[in-house]
Amino acid sequence: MSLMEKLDGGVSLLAGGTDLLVAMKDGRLRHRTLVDIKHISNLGAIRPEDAGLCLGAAVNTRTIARSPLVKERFPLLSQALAVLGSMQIGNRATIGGNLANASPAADSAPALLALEASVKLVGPQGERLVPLENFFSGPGKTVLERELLTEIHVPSAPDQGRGVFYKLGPRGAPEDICIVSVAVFAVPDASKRIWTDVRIALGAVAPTPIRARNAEKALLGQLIEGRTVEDAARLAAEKDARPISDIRGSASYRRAMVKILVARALEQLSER
Amino acid sequence: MSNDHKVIGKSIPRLDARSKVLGEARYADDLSLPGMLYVKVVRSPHPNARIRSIDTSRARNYPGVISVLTAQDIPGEKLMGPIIKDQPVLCGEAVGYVGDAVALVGAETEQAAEEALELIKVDYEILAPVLDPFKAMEPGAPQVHSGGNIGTHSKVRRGDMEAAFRDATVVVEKRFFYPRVEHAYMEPEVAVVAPDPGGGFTVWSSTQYAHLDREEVSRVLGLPQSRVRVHQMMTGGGFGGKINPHAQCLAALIAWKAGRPAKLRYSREESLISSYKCHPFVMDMKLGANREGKLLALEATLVGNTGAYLLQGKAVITKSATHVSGPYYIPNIKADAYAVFTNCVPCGAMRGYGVPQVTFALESLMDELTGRLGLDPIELRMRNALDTTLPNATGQVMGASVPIKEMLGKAKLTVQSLKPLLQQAPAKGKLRAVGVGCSTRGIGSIRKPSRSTAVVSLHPDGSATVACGHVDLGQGSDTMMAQVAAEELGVDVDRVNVVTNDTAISPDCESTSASRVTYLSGNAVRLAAAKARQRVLEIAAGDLGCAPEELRLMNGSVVYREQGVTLAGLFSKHTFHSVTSVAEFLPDTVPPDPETGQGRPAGTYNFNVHVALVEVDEGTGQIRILRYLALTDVGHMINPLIVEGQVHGGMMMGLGSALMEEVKVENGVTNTSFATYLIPTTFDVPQELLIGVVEEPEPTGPFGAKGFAEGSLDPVGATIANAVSKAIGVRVTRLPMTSERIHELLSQR
Repeated sequence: MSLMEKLDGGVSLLAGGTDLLVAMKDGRLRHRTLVDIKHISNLGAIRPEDAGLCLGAAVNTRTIARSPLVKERFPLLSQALAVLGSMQIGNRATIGGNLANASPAADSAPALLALEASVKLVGPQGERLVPLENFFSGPGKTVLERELLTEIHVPSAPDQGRGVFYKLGPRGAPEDICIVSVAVFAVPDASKRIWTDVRIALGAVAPTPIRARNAEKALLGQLIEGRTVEDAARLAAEKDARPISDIRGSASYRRAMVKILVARALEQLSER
Repeated sequence: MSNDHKVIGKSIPRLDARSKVLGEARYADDLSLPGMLYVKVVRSPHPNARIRSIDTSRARNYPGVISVLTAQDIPGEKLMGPIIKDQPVLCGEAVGYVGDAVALVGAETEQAAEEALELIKVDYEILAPVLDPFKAMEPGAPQVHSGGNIGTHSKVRRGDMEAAFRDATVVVEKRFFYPRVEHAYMEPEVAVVAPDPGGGFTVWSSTQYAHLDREEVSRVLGLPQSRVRVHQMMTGGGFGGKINPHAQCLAALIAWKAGRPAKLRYSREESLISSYKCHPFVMDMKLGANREGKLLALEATLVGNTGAYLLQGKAVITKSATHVSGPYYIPNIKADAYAVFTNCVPCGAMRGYGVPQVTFALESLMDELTGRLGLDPIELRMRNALDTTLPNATGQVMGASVPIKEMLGKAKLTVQSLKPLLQQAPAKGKLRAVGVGCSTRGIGSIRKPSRSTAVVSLHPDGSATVACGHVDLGQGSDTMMAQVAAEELGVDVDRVNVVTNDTAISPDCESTSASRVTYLSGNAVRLAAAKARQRVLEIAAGDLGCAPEELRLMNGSVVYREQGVTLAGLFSKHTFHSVTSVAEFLPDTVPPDPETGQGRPAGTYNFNVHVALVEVDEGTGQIRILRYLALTDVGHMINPLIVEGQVHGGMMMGLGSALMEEVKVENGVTNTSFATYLIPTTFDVPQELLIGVVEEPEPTGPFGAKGFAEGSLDPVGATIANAVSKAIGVRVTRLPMTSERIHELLSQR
């Protein structure tokens, strides 16, 4: 922390380096001081925390994806991180880095948003816990202010909750940057007929990874059936998603895919 | 045929495999010479501009910078290129595309060279570019060069089009689009050039044609070719993209100016921006048939966007026009193919050379016909397939090795075997279908006859050295040449050293391209080895008082009735150190006539039949290939393992342009890294990829062999597009079939 103070902003934090080193090679980042945070103790552990999880920011994503604890408690997160990149990237890229890089297409974000994770930020003034939904402020931008993202807290989820993650990429390869990604986590009521707690998160269709609040609201208290699924998927595509056109896909294709993938996820979660 | 062969037809591991696996193979970038400078290139940021002035003064004074060069410093020729020499080595007056080379820096370190680039100020007068080939052909379009924007026009004229279309019961017609594709060789361009004490230069490069490097470097430096020696280093792929020694010429200029060794290695981004690509084609094709499904007439207008320079464009366009009718007999053909200049990145040679483009269009129309005629796709193709009596689009009749009907028969069995998978209900929202695609290609250059030369030296210990100029790019041709020589000389393959990579030793055989090496150099090597053997046997026969036919060569001895005479003894007695023979092979060809396209342009042809079973996601438009069969015709296999490797590679390369690859140009190339220019990965390999080889020996080929390396790419786009079109019920007319494009077609249903 004091090192970061002293260097006064002219510093980049290096964890796995899978985004940072590419930016340096491209010349987007130049002549900056790097502070390697990989080996700060505490940042490298996966710990159970009540029925939830605490992930050290410097744990690599493949380790998390393969962790029996994560698989058991949050298969949704494990599923998403398994396709975050190639095996080589997964062995280097850290969970904290994937979030702090703040790509709208970050593969770890939708699942963590759907699981309502929070991030712990530590700075000279102390530490604060920020819900992940409030952490991103734009493409490549976060609320970090000369702070270090140290931990990701995933709160316990009801036992009967289930999740689905879809990553739509231009190829079959996990290293692709997604065109659209969707994570849905849902907890049905005891009768399994009513949507009670549904969280829908979207990647690569807005300036940041987002929760599809309009779609979620539309489902709340509604019957689990085709009509409600369709309505929610349409709202996610039309009201929640704010996609742009880029080299990976047009805005209209992205919108159409949000509708398809949200509907598929909800349908899959309706099957019991 | 193969029964009595010792090494031909055997899956001998590649001779370079060990050094590559152990990391011992030396590539050009592994080379570092004392005093070596690093070269960096100032490239144009504008697609079309005049250069008013270039200020290099600040760069010259930058610490570490030794030389700065612009066009006016070039001592020799200022234009270069593989066939048409129309690209400025360095642009002096104008730039033609984003990435055109304008100035050079040679510095003590790569970083100093890089930093000095930014100090060179080029004053451009920016002009309106023309990027679309159709706009470029309109009157009043900006002229890329004086002399009009049509760089070349190739024609095929056969029969009476009007009558034929009048007689046709069914006519199908569509416009097709084939993408601009990058070779994406693993190793980007690299060249190291050093001045020799005697006034010449030595080049170490990653290249498909060492002798072209020699020719161009000598032209640019104003030296005789004999003063330039080129060593092709281990080359990490070429696929047609390394037949343009621009990096070699640029490094040579700095080496010449500074009098010191110089290295230029392109970054991936630089390679993607500046190197020539596969031609994107827009193809209007019209195909007519009678009620029985006999093809009567084919009319085609093919427009290739050749970019700012012609380079190889003329030859690519000619190849596409002469291959327009595929492996079918069509009595009436009119084809007009154009290479059009634009201010896009230049296009040149790439694996396929115009054939995958026309194959996509023709095979798509063949499937359209089946729908209209109610015929099975394989049956329609069978009824029109070439045989040893029917002429192709150039009027050439191939007298032998035309196994297309046999291949179609095999494909039919495969299609039948896929029925259960097809009928098995796929998951909800998934559509399945089978597609077929066929292709043919002439082996070797068709624009002019091309000769291969080989020198074989048989040494007293029975080992042999083969010198031949077709460099190995990683496909395994050196191993196959060793097999050919070993078979003729009766020795093990590891006793043969094949030298293809040194212009001072290996004769010029034209580039390693056009699927020509096995056929042309295979023949030259075989003939030279046979000649050396014959000479030795004749000498021994004189000693033994028998006929040479009674003797054979085996492991360094001449064997006569179970008795052996060692070569060492024989050579010593007759004052030989080694026995050296030279042989040439020139196929019997006639280039296509410029007005009609008629001729006999290739010594032999290769055929391919592919079958794909695809599954399309109705919601997202994503395509999965569940089964793929690539049937190829190789004449006779010299090395089955290498055949398999080539077919795998060609098929996957074709899959790239079918499903995902497209170099996008908005002023300049916009997908400038492998994060945005996507090529297939292991995750994109079909669930099951089968390779089938049909062997019908080519009488003029070495041991019956012929070329096949590009053929395995040619029909891939067509095959997958036919399967996808059937699955979604809409004709695919544009590659690549990205999920977004297929989604769009699905929503048009």
